[in-house]
Amino acid sequence: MKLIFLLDAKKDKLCLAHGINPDDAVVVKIDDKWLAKRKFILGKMKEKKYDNAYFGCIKLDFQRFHFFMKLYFLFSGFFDGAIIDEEGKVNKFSFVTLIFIEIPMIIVEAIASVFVIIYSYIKFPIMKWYLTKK
Amino acid sequence: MVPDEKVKVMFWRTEFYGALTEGGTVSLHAGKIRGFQKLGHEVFYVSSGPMKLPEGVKLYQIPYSKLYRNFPEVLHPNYNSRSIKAITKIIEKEQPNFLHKHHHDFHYGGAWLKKHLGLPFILHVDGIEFWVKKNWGKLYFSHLLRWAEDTELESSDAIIVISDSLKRQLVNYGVNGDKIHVVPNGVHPDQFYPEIGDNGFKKQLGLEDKFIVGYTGTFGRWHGVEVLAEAVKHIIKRIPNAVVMFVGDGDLRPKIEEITKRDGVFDKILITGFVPFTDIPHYVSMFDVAVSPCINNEDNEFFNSPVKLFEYMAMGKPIVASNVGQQGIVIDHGINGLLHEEKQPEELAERIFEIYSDKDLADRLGKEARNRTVEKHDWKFNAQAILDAYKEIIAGK
Repeated sequence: MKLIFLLDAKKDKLCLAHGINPDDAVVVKIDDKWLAKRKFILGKMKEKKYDNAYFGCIKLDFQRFHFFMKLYFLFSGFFDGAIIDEEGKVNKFSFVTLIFIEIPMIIVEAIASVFVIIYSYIKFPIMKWYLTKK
Repeated sequence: MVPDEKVKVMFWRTEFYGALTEGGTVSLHAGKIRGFQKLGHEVFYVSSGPMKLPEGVKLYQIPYSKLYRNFPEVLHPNYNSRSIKAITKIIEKEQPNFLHKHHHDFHYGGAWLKKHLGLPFILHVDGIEFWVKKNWGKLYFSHLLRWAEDTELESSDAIIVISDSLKRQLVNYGVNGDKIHVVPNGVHPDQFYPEIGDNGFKKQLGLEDKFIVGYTGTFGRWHGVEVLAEAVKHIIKRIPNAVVMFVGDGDLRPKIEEITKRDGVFDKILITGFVPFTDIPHYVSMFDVAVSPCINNEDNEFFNSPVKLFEYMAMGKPIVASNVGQQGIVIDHGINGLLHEEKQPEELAERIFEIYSDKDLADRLGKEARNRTVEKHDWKFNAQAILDAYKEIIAGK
């Protein structure tokens, strides 16, 4: 039995795209906000002895929070877990990519995010003044 | 510009919505766009992702950066310069007459285009983002959100809101009430009509001998789906062969399941999940009663204009709706639907039973609902109201 967290995607389309038997899949419908509920997600992953776990979305390119989904695979022990989409694309969990690509990238993202926010706190009030002055 | 000349409208949707091409915003935009088309005007659409649009509408996508995808809200402030740069090129090519922008968080692009390109700027607002984030979501970077929101609200030439209560809220928020136009949502009576039929869904779902109480829409905060879930046991007590059908999906789905399991009526409900917009008329066609049990917000009035209400009306269905905000204005109790007090599941069930037990009443309510839709709530009237706002802007320049 497989566990699929569905993020807006449709179970039938996902199963068809990835050759998963729908009768062999337990589906938990969530949205992006639910990914912050660590106890809930990990609780579901550890609830039963599933063969594998997936996060299913409509399109990988338009799905946020890939890094945190990978952490869920890491902490729940689903090392064959993957993020899958309705078009048949797959972003698999892998220790190598996690350590050498995804962790460095999240550090870059965190640093860039700090700059974006600081820059925005300077820019937005100026833009407000500039764009609303008569 | 001669006011009756055909115009080219640019729709702009700036929110990050993943690749979701179903749901309320999609129906709203598709409805308005077809309204403009019916009146002979041209529309093109700019968005951050894929969109299902009416035929003949060009879509330009300006995607969000792939770098900022793992931390909340950070991707939004960064989208301003990226999207403004890209849309400026699109405007040079398309030369629209005005911008119709859907208001979303952290974005001031409409104000920028007005200032730099002189493009008339009409802002569609279906909620004050600051309030929505504070009350329904999580409020990060509140100053940024407020600055961007204030910039858009202040700079826009006209603001379109969907209800009187939202207009009042915006005025209380400090927006000039003279430029706010109340234009409730609508429906296309040629897409939603009684004769359309259920496309065989009733048979497929094994519901041929059932009395179907139906709801369509997102299971979000103000929709009142939990009230309907609470009403299921009362409905079943009075109408044993009833099935309550929830067409849609959303945050409160687990709540619906929890309530109906607790009440031992989980087998009397059917949750379809999101269905394609084109299938919605067929689902509504199955309903014997259509319900819209929306609720007021905890600290302010219900300010939405549920599209579902107009879709039910266009389908000629007897409706039971809660007496909140604009629903209480659109529905004339006993004339084109029945009203119940909000958050009263027993009363909701009672109203459903009234329709179940009086076929004449059901027919009368449905017919009047359909008539009023054709007369007042076609999306083309909505498009016309936006064009009127545009003409006022031009006349004032």
